[in-house]
Amino acid sequence: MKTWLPLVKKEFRLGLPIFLLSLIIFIIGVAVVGGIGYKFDHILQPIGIFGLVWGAGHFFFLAIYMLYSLGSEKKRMHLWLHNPMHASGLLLAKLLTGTVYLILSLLITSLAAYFGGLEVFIELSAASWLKIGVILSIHAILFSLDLAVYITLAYILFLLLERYMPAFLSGVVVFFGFWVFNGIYFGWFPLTKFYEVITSWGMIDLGNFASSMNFENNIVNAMINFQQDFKIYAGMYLFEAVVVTVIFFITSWLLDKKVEV
Amino acid sequence: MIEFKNVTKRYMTKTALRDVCLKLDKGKIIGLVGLNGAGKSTTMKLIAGLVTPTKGSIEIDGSKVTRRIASKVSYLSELDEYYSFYTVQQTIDFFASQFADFNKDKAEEIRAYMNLDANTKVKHLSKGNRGRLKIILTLSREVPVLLMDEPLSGLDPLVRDSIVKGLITFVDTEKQTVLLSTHQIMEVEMILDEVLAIKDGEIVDHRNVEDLRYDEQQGILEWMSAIYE
Repeated sequence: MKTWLPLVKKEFRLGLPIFLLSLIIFIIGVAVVGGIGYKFDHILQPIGIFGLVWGAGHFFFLAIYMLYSLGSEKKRMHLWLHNPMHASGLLLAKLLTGTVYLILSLLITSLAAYFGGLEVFIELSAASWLKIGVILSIHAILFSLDLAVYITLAYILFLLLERYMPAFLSGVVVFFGFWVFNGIYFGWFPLTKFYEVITSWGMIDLGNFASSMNFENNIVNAMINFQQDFKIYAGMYLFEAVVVTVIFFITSWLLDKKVEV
Repeated sequence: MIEFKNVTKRYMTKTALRDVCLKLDKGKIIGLVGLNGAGKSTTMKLIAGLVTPTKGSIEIDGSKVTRRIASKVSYLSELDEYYSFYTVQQTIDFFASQFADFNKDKAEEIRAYMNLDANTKVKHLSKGNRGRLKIILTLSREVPVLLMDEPLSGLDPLVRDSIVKGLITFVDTEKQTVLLSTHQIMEVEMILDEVLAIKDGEIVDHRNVEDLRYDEQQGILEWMSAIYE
């Protein structure tokens, strides 16, 4: 902890441009859609919708943050890796700072979207908005963390392959490898009986979620239909948490033992 | 003591080091000399645990070298990339936070000796001052092994002189082994105890500088000429 916290502090400074860039793009986006909306006498609604879309974009925030942060270290690997700390500590410092920036950015975006117009556009009680906000934000953070770990592994594999082939080719191999993995792991694997057996337990009841909200009738019906078709289990979350933890430690091991400067 | 046991390092088709066996004793300043591409930087990185041998193993005081040998080794890279958003002082503080053996008083002493402004941002430092900063960061660690890869490269004579004097002043030769690679042989000759010649990935000679000077009446440059010509 004594050495890790100063490392975290350094990571905050190193990753700051991504956080600022996210904010600047959001502010510019709000100004642009607000300006366009003003011409049509609907200034608030476009801002609310833009906030919602930008908030959803936070699913990718941490992956982009990790790519930026790891990319920044690439030209000074001798500095980053010349450290007695285990590689998991080095990577965890980046993931933690990225998550803090993600939460901050998400909070700013959500508040701006809410007060900027979403509240006016869709009439819901404050409690319902809070409920939606919390559920979506938690999932944006979890999904973003999940993706960031996979992206970190892909980046470390890119560094490893670079020893054996030109950087461009290594990038191409990892890019296609990543999409093949995605297709198998997120496309084919969840449809298998095995996945169903190990994850279909601890169903999370969303039954009261939609009807508790003051939506217009057709939106409530749509959500109820969605809930009937799409079941969420605690087993899914636990399984993914275990997989991501294993992947994180494989990545750390590769960085510790195989990546060269 | 640093020990190479039949170490080979290959990068795809190129062999950087070939079956090297080597023992370097404690408390010496050792020069690693050789032509460009001879394997000097690879040797340094292998000792620092930043690259791994293709064959064989390296030990420092009986411990197998891995990346985490950084707790025993202070490594100065030939590159001078630091975190540009930090000032000199913040860089020193960051290093002090990462290495338990980092002596901040010594860093301050070397910084004052090197006449380097603590409040200048790293991104605004000249090449010479970045070279000085590297020396501060490397010599302020109280570790058994100091590795310095081309510490004098690309620097003007005044900076080189201050670095060489810094080495004499701030290295604890009782406890520390210094391995430095350089092309500026004349400037470091007076501080070297031993010299290692590397050629095409092989250690071709390893001599005590005093023996060379008194027994064979040769300077390092003449000895090198005999090896490389």
